[in-house]
Order: sequence, then C-alpha cells, then structure tokens
Amino acid sequence: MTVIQRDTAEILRAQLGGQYLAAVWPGVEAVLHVEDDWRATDSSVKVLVADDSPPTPLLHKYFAEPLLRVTVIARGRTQARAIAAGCADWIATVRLPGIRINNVSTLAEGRGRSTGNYLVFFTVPATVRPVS
Amino acid sequence: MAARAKFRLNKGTIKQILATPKPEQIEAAERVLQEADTPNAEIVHYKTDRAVVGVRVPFEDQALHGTATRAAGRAGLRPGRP
Repeated sequence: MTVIQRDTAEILRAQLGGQYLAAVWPGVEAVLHVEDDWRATDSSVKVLVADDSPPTPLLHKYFAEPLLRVTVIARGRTQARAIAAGCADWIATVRLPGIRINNVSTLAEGRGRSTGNYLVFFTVPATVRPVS
Repeated sequence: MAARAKFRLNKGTIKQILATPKPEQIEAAERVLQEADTPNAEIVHYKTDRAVVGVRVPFEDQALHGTATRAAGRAGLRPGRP
C-alpha cells in the first residue's frame, strides 16, 4: 500500500482563502510563505498558514497529527485581531476532507521589529488521514 | 473500637512541592532550547500556581517561522495538545 501524506497546510490555506477570506475579508490573501521584510498596508493583508510538525512516525501507521499555525499580518492591531478571530472561529467549525481539527488556541499578538506589522497567530492541532 | 486514622492535608508543603521545578521540566526545556533555530531563545522560570519552566523566543520568530513550536516538536513534546 502506498501512503500519500496530505499537504495539510496547503489544504487549509486553500479552503480558508477560498471559502472564508474571499467571502468575509475580500482582498486578504492566504499564503504559505511571507518574506521577512514584507510590509502590510491597509489594503494588503496576508494570512500565513504553516505546518510546524516535525517528522514523526504515522500514528498507527495511518494517521498524522500535524500542528498548524495561522498568522495574520496586518498594519493595524484591530484589523489583525478581527481577521485572526474570524479565521479561528471558521477553522474550529469547518469540516475539511480527511482532516479533523482537534482544537484552536487563543490568539497571541505582537509586532514585527523591523516592519512594524501587527502579527496575531494561533495554533491548530489536527489529526489527518493520509490518502492511501 | 479502633481509633479512626486521621489525615490532615499539609497545604503549605504541597504548595512548596508544586512551586519547585521538576528535573524533567528543566531537561525538557533544555532540549527545546537546543532545537531552537535562533540564538535569541532562552529558558525562563516563573510561577503560576506551580513552577513553570519555559523557553522564550522573540515573538516575530514564533509568529512568522514557528521557532518555538517547531523546536518543541523536534524535542519530542506535543505543543498545543494535552
């Protein structure tokens, strides 16, 4: 049997961007990577989706348990928190194919040292069924 | 009739035990520190209702690169999970 592991961060990024952000926050872009020196503007906001999991044996040789991180990068604190809270609510309730969302953390916020961007992130532990 | 055994909770001693970091906490924090991809990571000790040993990294490193969560995962911990 060939086990193909899902790209969980990409699945979440595509669904979050296509279903939630496009409908509620048009113009906000969901991405997998952001350059360190990228600066947000009032009209240019990014939501970074990343998978922080280390390589681990698949649980029961079948399920993986990735830890996802969602970071909103915006120019203002209020905007960043509102988008992050909306994303967290949406992720906590959405059903994604092959992915079970186990939890959503509280929001943590801070500022970029050189860019001045407001950064708000939360983590999402999940259980993922690989494609066989 | 035999006297009933009495048990008296020594809250002061329990508080003292909880407020003392366990060797395995310190060892786990040191493992995370070694795995962190930044020279700015440090071990911090603080107390809530008990002793906590944490690893602190610059906020931007964690928000953009997941420095702390990735280091914890590589150290064999399960951040964000009970």
